[in-house]
Amino acid sequence: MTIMLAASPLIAPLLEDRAGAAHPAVSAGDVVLSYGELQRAVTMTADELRRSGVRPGDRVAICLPKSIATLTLILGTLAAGAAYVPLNHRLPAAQLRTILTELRPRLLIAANDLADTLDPDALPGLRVAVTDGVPGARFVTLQRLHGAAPDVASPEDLAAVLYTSGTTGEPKGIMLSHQGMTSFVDWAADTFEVSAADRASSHAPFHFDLSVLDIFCTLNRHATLHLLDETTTRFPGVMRAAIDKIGITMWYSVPTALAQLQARRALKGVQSLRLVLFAGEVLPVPVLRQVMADLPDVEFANLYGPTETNVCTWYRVPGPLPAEVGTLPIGQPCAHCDITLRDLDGAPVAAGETGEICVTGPAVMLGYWQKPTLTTAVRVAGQAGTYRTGDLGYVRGDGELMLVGRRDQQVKLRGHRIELLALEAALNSHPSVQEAIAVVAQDAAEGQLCVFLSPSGSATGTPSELREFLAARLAPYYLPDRFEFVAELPRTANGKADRSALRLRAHTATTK
Amino acid sequence: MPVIDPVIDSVITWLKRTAYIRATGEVVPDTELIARGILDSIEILNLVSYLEENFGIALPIDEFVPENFETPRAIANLVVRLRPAVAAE
Repeated sequence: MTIMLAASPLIAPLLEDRAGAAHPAVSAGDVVLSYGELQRAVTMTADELRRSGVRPGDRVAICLPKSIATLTLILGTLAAGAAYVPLNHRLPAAQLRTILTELRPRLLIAANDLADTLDPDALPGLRVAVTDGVPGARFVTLQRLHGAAPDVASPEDLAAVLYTSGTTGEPKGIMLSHQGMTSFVDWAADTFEVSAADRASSHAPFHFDLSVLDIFCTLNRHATLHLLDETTTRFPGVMRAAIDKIGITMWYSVPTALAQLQARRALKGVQSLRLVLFAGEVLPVPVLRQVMADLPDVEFANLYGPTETNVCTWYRVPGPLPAEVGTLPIGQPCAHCDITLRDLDGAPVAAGETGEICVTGPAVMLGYWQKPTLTTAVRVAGQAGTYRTGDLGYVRGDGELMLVGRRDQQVKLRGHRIELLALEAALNSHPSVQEAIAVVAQDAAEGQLCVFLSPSGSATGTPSELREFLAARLAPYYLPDRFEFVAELPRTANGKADRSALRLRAHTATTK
Repeated sequence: MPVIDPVIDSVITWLKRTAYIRATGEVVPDTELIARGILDSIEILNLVSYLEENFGIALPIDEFVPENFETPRAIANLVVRLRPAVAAE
């Protein structure tokens, strides 16, 4: 078989013939693709994309549920020399339109119903391809192409654009380079000794940064990637059966997924796992301690890093976890990253002092798509290749980096970045709301998003009305777990809403 | 009255109060909760906690599968099946 030359170092190893063509590359449910089949599917998809007008340097927006076909589209896009832009197909149509208008991809690939909802005719210059979306399909054929292809150049070396919501709920496209993603993927594959014997579970959606490790670490080391469907991740009973059936060796998820399983003791007795990686938010130590007790022979690591840098520090959790450990460090910089802690003026802080965690290295994003001002603002002294995370940290006596919190009001919940101010702004625009304050109540297992509202006049919106109102404006993960109406919000001395008092109140209500 | 009816009622009451009733908001004993996306992963965990507390059951891991959560009726069947034989008068 002829293997094409890879257009991207990110996929070059997976297209090499050394794996053995019959070795399983990816599975979803009962469908399994061997490396030989995957290589062929990627080649055909790249050809199909080229026929649809995709050229090196283009961006291809892929707005589809997770599947093998979606994965081959991502890999085929890279093979065609273009950058892939995975979009959450559940975003409200208005938000998708905003993203597509600023992204101006060469091509949007979506399922039929979504393509109709988006009304591509209302998006001038957008070329849409519709896939048949056959579950388990190995490659896609693109149909119903229409629209004119725009010509907007990408920065050189662009491999992917990952969208997250910004401070005002406005989406930000994080531009990642081939070189940067490859440096991270190589670091992770080396550090965690990923090999062809590994079977990795893919929990994260492809528009999450966790999927970069899932996809590229696994495939570049000729391991097998197992795409988990929603039923599996939703039901601990099904998840446990899948772990055993597949013989998962490598697990990488947000802590919530682990905490949910642990709450049902669903990990006890799992034999196949050798490595559990978690990232995206803080895993409560008591939960981790239980997980580690149920999986005594497994290696655990806490990975830290925003999408703008992907993982930049990591901590190998010693087992058994000493009783006095209350908070898990985020550990040491990854080999491909430099970390400095800086004060508000950008000067490095003294040893042991708290400062903003700043990252330098090849894996730092190229910038935010079409947002040069914002890009400069998040760099250290405006320098390319640097990123100010907005997270505060300090180096402990033993040299481990500790995470303290956020500089602003952004939180991470169930793996999603939530701008509390954006949620509040949306609620404040509802006629029945005078002022809304959103807080996260932490209980042992996970955070709960709680909203306190003071009503405007006598009209009071019901929680379901407000949910519906929010669902039309924000991503689904912004929907609060609880609404509480209060006659008056507690205030601090200077008249601002007292967030700590509300957090405490939310916490008490959650745990009582 | 069949023993299952009050259980269905309390499941429906719970769903109305806390679940994200995304579509019409109407929930009947045979509303498809999974297929229609009414129960997401967080809601299912909340619901299971409620069922365990309210009905004094413990859900074994191998019963934590979609078949048991497809409709309010299926959930009620699960509860009745797991509930200890109380007050067999």
